Amino acid sequence: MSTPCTMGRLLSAAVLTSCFFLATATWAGSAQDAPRHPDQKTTVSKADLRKRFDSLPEEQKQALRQRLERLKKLPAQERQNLRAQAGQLEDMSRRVYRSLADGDRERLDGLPMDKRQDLLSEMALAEVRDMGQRILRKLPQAERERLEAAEPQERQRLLLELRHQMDLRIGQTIERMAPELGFSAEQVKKLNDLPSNERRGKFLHVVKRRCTQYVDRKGLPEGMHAVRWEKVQQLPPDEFYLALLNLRREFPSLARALNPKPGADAKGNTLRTSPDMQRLRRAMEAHLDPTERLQLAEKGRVERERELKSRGRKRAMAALDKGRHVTGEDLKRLEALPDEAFFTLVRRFLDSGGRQGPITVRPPKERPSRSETSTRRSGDKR
Amino acid sequence: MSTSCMEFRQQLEALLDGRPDPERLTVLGWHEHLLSCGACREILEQEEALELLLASLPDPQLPPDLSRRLVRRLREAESEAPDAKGGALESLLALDEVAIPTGLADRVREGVAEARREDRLDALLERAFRVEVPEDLGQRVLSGLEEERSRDRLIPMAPQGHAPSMSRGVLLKLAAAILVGASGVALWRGTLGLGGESSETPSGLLVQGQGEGLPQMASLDEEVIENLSELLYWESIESLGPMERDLLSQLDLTDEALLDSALEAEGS
Repeated sequence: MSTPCTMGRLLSAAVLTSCFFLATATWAGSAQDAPRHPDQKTTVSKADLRKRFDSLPEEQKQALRQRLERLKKLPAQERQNLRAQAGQLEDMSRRVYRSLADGDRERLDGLPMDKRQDLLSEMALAEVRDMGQRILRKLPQAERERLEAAEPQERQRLLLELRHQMDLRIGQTIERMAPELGFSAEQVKKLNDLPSNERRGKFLHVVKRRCTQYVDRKGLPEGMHAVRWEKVQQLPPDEFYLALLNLRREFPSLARALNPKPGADAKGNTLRTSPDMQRLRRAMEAHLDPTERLQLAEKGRVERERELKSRGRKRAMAALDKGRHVTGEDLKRLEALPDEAFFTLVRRFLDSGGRQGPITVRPPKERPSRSETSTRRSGDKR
Repeated sequence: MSTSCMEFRQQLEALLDGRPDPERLTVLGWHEHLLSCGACREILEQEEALELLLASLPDPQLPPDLSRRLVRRLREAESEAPDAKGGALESLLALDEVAIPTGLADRVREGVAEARREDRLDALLERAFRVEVPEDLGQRVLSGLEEERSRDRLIPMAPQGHAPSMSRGVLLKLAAAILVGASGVALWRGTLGLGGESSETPSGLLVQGQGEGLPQMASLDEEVIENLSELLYWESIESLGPMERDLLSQLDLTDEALLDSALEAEGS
């Protein structure tokens, strides 16, 4: 839209940037002897990076230059954290790419490089987010609440402690699984004597072995081709684990391979695996489905996210309606909720395995305002 | 354009008034009109991108007394050659490489005089100046100016005084930008007489500035390319919430598998 307002803002930006340019011209004079970066060697990966950089639009290049300047100014510790997080995301991108079904990978490979990278990065980000949420949900309630209520520094300390506890737990878990997996006492000792990081890696080996043994015993889920399973089996343990998590959406019974004796289900919750609850779970995980995301490859990032959310929401509504988990006026009120409230409510229902009964949504006027909620104590009576 | 498009665009335009603020536009992202109108969706996305760009521009950083010095020099330039057409200002702007249209100096002077009357120039210059200037900005602005200049060449073809009002506005603003910037550089370098004699012409300054900026930008780009993965992932990381970032730093799929096993053990 070439409105006068827009034009005016553009011109103002042009005038402002003109001032910058001339200041830059002066600075360039003082920096003219600055050495070029010494690393002139060209490797394949660097060539790829250069190609990727060259393919970016100018404004994104500029944003990257500014981000580099910010990166250089970060304190060492923050920069190290950032590197660790970037490393985790990179690992997740690799896992996501390698665990894609053949058709999805071919489709992704056929896209222009920038689009491909964007989509892969979105998928990795969605996985990382979901993994964090899954981990939180699996923690004991008290521990989760402590984490959620903690200040940033305290939260980091709690998470470090949690990681340490997990490391200690690896040994016990391997010992518990040893008879089922046919490990000798000597093998278990060898595993437990490994340094922490190696032991973590080995634990995923153990999980993979257990899953494949389960499928060997029980057979493949209906509709799954042996060739596909064969390919999944050939993946390294971390990629195998992610592939299995994603396959669970298509073949819900594979969840048993990851968790043959599910604790929560053992408490008599039959709704958890009912078809409409499976449909609901699948609807809520539309953003994690690579096929679904790739279907929207032509759209921009924002529009794609919006569309995925909208699709997920419509399907979740249909599944809830079909399973009669929400009825009458509640259905209308649920439909009218903003996205965040809608997904939180349905997620809570899903996590309870449907045990909390039909979803009830209070009319807006009955919902306490923020100030009421914050001032009322748990013991207060109205 | 339908009535609903018109209404949506009016709302958008109302939101765009004032300082850049990308978050202001996210409210409109939920407008139901967007569900059925791709054109308006595209416009909103463009405006969001522009707001982001504008918000990311740093404030300029020039010496605090520049406005005073610049205004003083302009007065001196005017008093030195009050009758000669163009005078010092004309020679300042007589740049072969830039090919500024005839009469531009007069129009710039008019524009500057008006700005001075309203104290806008001082306000603009004084407000401006606490910033790091992006290193490739010179390159980008110059290419932008080049495009505008090629349009400006057409202006003298039109009858004097009948140029379209938007072109006059563009000319005035660009010319003012060149004047302000070039004078600033010239003051620093002493080419207007403050720092002794110099054989550098303003056009020389422009060309030299551009030439020196390129290796610096190329060097920065090399660094960007070296760190590209990290920088691209950083963009994604910034979209995570604080809790999600902490979880990403400390825990991974192994922890999830361990928690599954722990739940299983509790269950059995």
